[in-house]
Amino acid sequence: MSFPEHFDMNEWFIVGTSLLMIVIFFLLPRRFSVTQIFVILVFNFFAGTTGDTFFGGPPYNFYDIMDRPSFGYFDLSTYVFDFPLSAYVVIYFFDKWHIRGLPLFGYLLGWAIVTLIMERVADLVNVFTYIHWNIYESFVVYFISYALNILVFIWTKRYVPQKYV
Amino acid sequence: MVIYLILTILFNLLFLTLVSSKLYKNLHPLEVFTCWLFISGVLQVFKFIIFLNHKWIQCDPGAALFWAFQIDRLVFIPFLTVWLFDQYFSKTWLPAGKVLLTLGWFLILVGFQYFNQLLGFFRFSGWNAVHSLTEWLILYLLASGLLFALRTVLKREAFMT
Repeated sequence: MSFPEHFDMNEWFIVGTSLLMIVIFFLLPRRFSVTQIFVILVFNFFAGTTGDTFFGGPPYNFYDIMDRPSFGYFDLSTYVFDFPLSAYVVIYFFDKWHIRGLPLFGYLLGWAIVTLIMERVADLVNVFTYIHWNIYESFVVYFISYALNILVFIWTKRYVPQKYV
Repeated sequence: MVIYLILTILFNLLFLTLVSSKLYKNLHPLEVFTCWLFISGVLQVFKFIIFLNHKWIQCDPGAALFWAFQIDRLVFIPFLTVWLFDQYFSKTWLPAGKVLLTLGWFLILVGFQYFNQLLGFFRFSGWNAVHSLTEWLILYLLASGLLFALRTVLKREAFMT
């Protein structure tokens, strides 16, 4: 893995968002069992790495992340902190507000837009270099990703002991 | 290349069918699910490092081979590993049998890379059996560490008895 050539705005952006997500994670009152948190974090680590292999690497090369096409520590940071913890927040409020039916569609749409705005900011500080990709395709990916997160969360709830329900 | 992709899909489907029916005897469904995702995620990181950054293994850039190896990273290797862990908790194996199974797991995965080199799909550039063993050892340690941690939490939170 490689360190960045220059520690500039895009690296600061990743450091800042990672720290922000960690702070939000610890500030939110505990709502889920450690097992559920475990599953959410691992699922999104998987989704991040697999998604970037599909779209970001050869043969498709739709986009690059950070300064170089190669994989670096800051890419790993997005897979370990940014993606999993942002999905955690989405699931947290889905469960807290008991969102079901049509409002759930709006809820997912809302989070996909929020994430899209974050990506636009990330794009402005050169976190992403789009090659054959545009930001609206990201919107679809975020929407599907959050919907899958909700499905996985509902599935994990089947196994949750009564004291955590 | 397309034939290889089709064969890979068929092999992975067959493998998944055979293995998935046996997995839930000794492992909790959440363990199977989480281990599968984690192993697959780590394999993607390994791919970034080995194939993209250092180019220790070079592969034909075509889409058919890309998908064939992606399917192996999504199904074959993760489920083979989860199956190995499942066997660790099985009472049908003696400890020596479990050691042999583990050695077999390493042999299959190292052999898998050499098999693809033999077929001409992989070109090794500074990559050898020791590197390959190291790769799978890291995967084994990470995955077994995750399973150990998850099982501890599952028991503590009474997900399993």
